[in-house]
Amino acid sequence: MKGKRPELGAGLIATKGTAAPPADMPTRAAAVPLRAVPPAPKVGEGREALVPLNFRIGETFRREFKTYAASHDLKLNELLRLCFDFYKSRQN
Amino acid sequence: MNVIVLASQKGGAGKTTLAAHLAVAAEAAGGDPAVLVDTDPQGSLSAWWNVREPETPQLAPSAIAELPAKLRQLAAAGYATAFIDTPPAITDAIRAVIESADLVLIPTRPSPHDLRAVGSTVELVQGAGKPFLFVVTQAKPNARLTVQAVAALSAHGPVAQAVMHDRVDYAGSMIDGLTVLETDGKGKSAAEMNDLWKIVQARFTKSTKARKVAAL
Repeated sequence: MKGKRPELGAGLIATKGTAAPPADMPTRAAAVPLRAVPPAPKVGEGREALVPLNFRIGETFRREFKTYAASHDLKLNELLRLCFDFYKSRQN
Repeated sequence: MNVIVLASQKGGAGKTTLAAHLAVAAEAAGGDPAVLVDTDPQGSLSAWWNVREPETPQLAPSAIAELPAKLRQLAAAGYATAFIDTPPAITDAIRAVIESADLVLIPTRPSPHDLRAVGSTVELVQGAGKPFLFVVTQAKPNARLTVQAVAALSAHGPVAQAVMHDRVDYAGSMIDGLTVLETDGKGKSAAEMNDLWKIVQARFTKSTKARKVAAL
């Protein structure tokens, strides 16, 4: 370190071997309530099994669609479903 | 003193590695003292620092409730930059840490899971009205996914041009309390970390031209 050394007061800086994170930061388990993980859907049970849907779209739309889904924590199929449901509701 | 917070909802994105490496790079580049603050209950940064032989960068212990006051004391003591590591979550405590930031670095791996999770972190940072910069970490060389990740991230905000690649020397150096800058100062990993520090530094300059050049 070439710069001016900082002026250290008592307790400002940790000493080697004793550094530890703060006690008042909640752990991840405490911060995030556990959610029950739904079982994977099976054919003939409640929700339908997922199957591929293949079609081609423009590169710009593809990027915009994926970016929007990522920024809203949605899977691509979830966003497609929301769009389709919204479209149907408008048509009706 | 510039306060840089490393935040990301995803674990393993590289927050601790970036905090340690950037602090070492900052001191090596400018000679101004940097200080680390570890707020992750996992304590990986503290563990790294405890086994580290070199005295600098130093690490300051701080409770979350006392963080603003602690940062004022560190600034008064003469530290130029503080790097704050945070746990991988979205909580009020992390929001409180981000409130103290001058810049938030959001490390993100070029994977669909990381890209899906980045929205929550961005919302948190934007809610606090803080500037941020994405840093792509653990990228595979010549992977199309990395390019796509940069494109996707750039729709949300600036992305650092320096991409951190997936190399074992990052983890290897940190086992002994060091960084790639100290174990192989002329290597590719050290070069990309120095580049990243220059980009981060540019965010604090008044020249908007320099900032635009440094980030996509």
